[in-house]
Amino acid sequence: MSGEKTRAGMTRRDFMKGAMAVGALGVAAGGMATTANWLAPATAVAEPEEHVAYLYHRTHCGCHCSLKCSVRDGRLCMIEPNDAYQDECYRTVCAKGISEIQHVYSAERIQTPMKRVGQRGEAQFVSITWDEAYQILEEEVRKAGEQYGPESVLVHCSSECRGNYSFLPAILGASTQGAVGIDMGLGNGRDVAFGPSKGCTSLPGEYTQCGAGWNRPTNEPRDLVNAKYILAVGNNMFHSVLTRSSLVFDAQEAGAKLIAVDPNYSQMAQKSDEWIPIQPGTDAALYLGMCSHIVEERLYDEGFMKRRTDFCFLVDVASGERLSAGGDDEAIVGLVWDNASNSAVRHDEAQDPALTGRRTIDGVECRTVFDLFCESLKEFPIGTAAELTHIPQEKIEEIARDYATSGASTLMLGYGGNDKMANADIAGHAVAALTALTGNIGKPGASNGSYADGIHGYQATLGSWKLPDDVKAATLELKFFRLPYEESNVHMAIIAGDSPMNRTANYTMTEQWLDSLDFLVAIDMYYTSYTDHADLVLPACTVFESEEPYVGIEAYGGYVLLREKAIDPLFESKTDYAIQNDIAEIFGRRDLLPKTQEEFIRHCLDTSTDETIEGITLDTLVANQGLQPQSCQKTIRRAYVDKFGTKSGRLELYNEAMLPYDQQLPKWEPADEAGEDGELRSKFPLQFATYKSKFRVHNQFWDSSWNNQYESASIEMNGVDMESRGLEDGDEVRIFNDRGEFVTSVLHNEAVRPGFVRMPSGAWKKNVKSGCFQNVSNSNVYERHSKQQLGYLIFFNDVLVEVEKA
Amino acid sequence: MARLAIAVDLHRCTGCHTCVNACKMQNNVPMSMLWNRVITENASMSDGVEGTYPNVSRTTIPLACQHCENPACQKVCPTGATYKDDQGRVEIDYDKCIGCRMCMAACPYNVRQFNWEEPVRDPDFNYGDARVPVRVKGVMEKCTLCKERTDDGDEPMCVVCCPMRARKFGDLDDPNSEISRIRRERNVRILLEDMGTKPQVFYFA
Repeated sequence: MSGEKTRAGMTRRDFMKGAMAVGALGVAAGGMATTANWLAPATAVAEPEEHVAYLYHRTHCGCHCSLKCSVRDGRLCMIEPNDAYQDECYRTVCAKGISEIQHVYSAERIQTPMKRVGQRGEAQFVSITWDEAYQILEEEVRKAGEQYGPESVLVHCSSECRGNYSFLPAILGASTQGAVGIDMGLGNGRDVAFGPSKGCTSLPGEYTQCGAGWNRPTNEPRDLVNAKYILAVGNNMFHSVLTRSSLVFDAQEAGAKLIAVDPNYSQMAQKSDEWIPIQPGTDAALYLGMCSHIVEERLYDEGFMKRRTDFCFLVDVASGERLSAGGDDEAIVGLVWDNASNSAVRHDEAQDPALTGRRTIDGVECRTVFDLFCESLKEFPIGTAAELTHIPQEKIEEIARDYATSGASTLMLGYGGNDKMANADIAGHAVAALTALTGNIGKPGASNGSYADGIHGYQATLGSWKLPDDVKAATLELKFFRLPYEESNVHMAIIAGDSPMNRTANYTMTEQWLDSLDFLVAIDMYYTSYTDHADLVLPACTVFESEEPYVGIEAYGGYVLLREKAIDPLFESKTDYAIQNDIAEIFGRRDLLPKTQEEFIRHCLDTSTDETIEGITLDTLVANQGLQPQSCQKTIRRAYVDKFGTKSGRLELYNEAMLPYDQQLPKWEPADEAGEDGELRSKFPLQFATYKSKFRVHNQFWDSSWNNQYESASIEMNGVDMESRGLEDGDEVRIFNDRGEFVTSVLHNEAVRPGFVRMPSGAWKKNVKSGCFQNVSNSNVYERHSKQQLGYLIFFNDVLVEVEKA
Repeated sequence: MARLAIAVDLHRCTGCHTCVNACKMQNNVPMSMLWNRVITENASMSDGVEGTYPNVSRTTIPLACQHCENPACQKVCPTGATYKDDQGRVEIDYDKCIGCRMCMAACPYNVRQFNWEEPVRDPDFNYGDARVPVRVKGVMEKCTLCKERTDDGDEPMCVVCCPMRARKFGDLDDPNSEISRIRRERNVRILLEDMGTKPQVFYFA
């Protein structure tokens, strides 16, 4: 092989080897007409040409690392941290980022447009030209439009590339919908109590992410260093937001005590001062138990409760509704009992508001929110919390006391674990209760939220490109992940990224839905799982490739970040922007979009009215290695410093919208399926859950030959459960329930709690022996969640299975 | 003269493998070889543990050439290919290496990698630092302490890329260096200290 190799690297033979790998998936070897572009012109004797490009990596990791990329003879050869960041903690790259050296050139790359020749799901394709592909796409879109209306075409993109196709639904008049159902289990319960953070942030930077339903941390992670006590519950930043997790060590070195609560021995557990194992799905019980102890021992912050929360607000005992101060304008303002004037007054006018007391006002019998909360806690004594969580009562009391009294406590939550179980909203609501009692918010070191994806500092507001008013998308009322189970007018789908496998539960149903469509277009970089079901497959390129010198711009974590081109698009792939532009051209709307990405980037900067990024232009970004800080970047961002974003400006624990479900105050309820006493336990005794691996971004990097050296798509089990099933390390096993099954190997790991089966999330079908991990996941939904901020939650971790030798 | 060295903070090390990939990239290390790896003590998998649930613990140790003051590999090298250089690094002169693998057997840390076959790279071109020599079949290789970088006064790539800021690079001959201070003041762990190899790479917590 080396005999053929030039100094430039990839030879014709190597290229064909790559092509053959995809050929094995059913691609005919035709259509590889671009070797001239793909093979670099350099010769063995020429001095290599080397240059550097700066770009922010894929965004769905959550860290958005800006990377220094060295390109030699047209090939990506080095990836290093961008040292232009002001803070050392941001100058980062991880195993995933570096592995792109290989992963960009992966054998799983889709190299050419392809059309289906076999049956749906058989994965038989032939290569076609882009012109042929676009012709088919045009015909199918027009056909669907004529038959069922343009809204019968669904454009759905994964989180990674949604922004890149932001104009496509409008161009086609197609349906689209921001997919939720994930990462908002806790937020659905917590965020409504805090309200939108806009205008509630420490000056001068604006921050709008808190209160939006995602359970974002109220203080940014750089603030961890100010915490005296950190309680991490179901959080493992060391995997999920790896390159920001060193801030935990900074906090420890500054003196913070770190307690980790997790069913499994995570890295957070490993690095903590104390690990407290918990029964999965009982986080709400833990928080309510803590609340009980804080109330009983009067460890609460009475001043905060009276001034910053709705604990004093009066509630009509009969209806459960809060008393309003009267008048339409003031209906939003709570009524409280003022001990000073001995009368009921507006909450903002009371001199000495009463936290407790039964009163009759204008013939209406009233209690305070705090009274009602204390009463509901009486039904849930701390002993019950201990039984449910399997945490000793004294330990719950200890962490409740430390959390309430340390002076600066941070509650670090995550997007795994309980966040993906049916009672997550109750846990989130209970977190709001802990906040309301202790005042651990808006102060240095006092914060809570999911320290996971989206852990922003500030986020500047860039200008946006506007389409004419009459060019708009239709809104799909149904959530994307409900399409496999409910009737809709969707007959054709253009899907970019493998949302079908990653963001819907019960994959057998999803595959049936995909196959029921009249036509499916898959746009992707890699041949993943949903691609099997496509009629037309279009090759997109990675963030490192572009036809143009400048690719993208974003504001993230206190910086404006530029994505420069590193290398030309590989094979016949195109950038998402180019594909979108081409489709716009077909439908006569190309002139509505930016002519180039450079024009788009300049527009976003030139039309921004955000003072914190004044003076930042494309040229200054290029001169500053692709990143520049907002003027406020050095100041740590904190939300809800002196007010909340609710109508009353206070933390509103009492949620009237939940009255029909008796969840106006957080009330314990077990998980849907995976509760310890769940009905299905006798048949399927093990809980199955996935976690975000340090080597993957959900379904991305499962074809990384570098990272696959360190991790496989195996399940992990405790020795007790393996022994009782006669399983040995490395055995091939069948994981199954009534919904479906998959087969892969099992690894013995004593980090895993007995009764629990875990697996890194996102593995492709080809990574396991047969089936798909998503075949067993739980597609049940609760009406209660549909009435909450971000709607239905998917119960990805609320799953029971049995495991047997395959 | 200098004694260049790396110290790894084992509390900050989470076993994320960034240093493993950073080294592989920088030094154009082929598939099925790693100059630097992360071992999880007494566990069969990266996120494994010692003990029985819930009485478990986990220690991850990045492991590469220890750049010993008294290198066992150098003593057995019949051609002088392995040598201790004036910066205190253990290096290999690839032209002098005859592939006898005596050093591989002698190294108690099992960090020497031999090119049994023509190297296979994925991607199939020479990535990494262009200054790093390309090794051929029959030659031994291992961590050079990023000779090409440290000669220029830069830190090794594993140190630059460590997202946990767990790795410290410096000169043990300089008593005022951070690494010398760590060696003096912290709870230091030396791998296989009883072998008498006197590693310059060390661990602390």
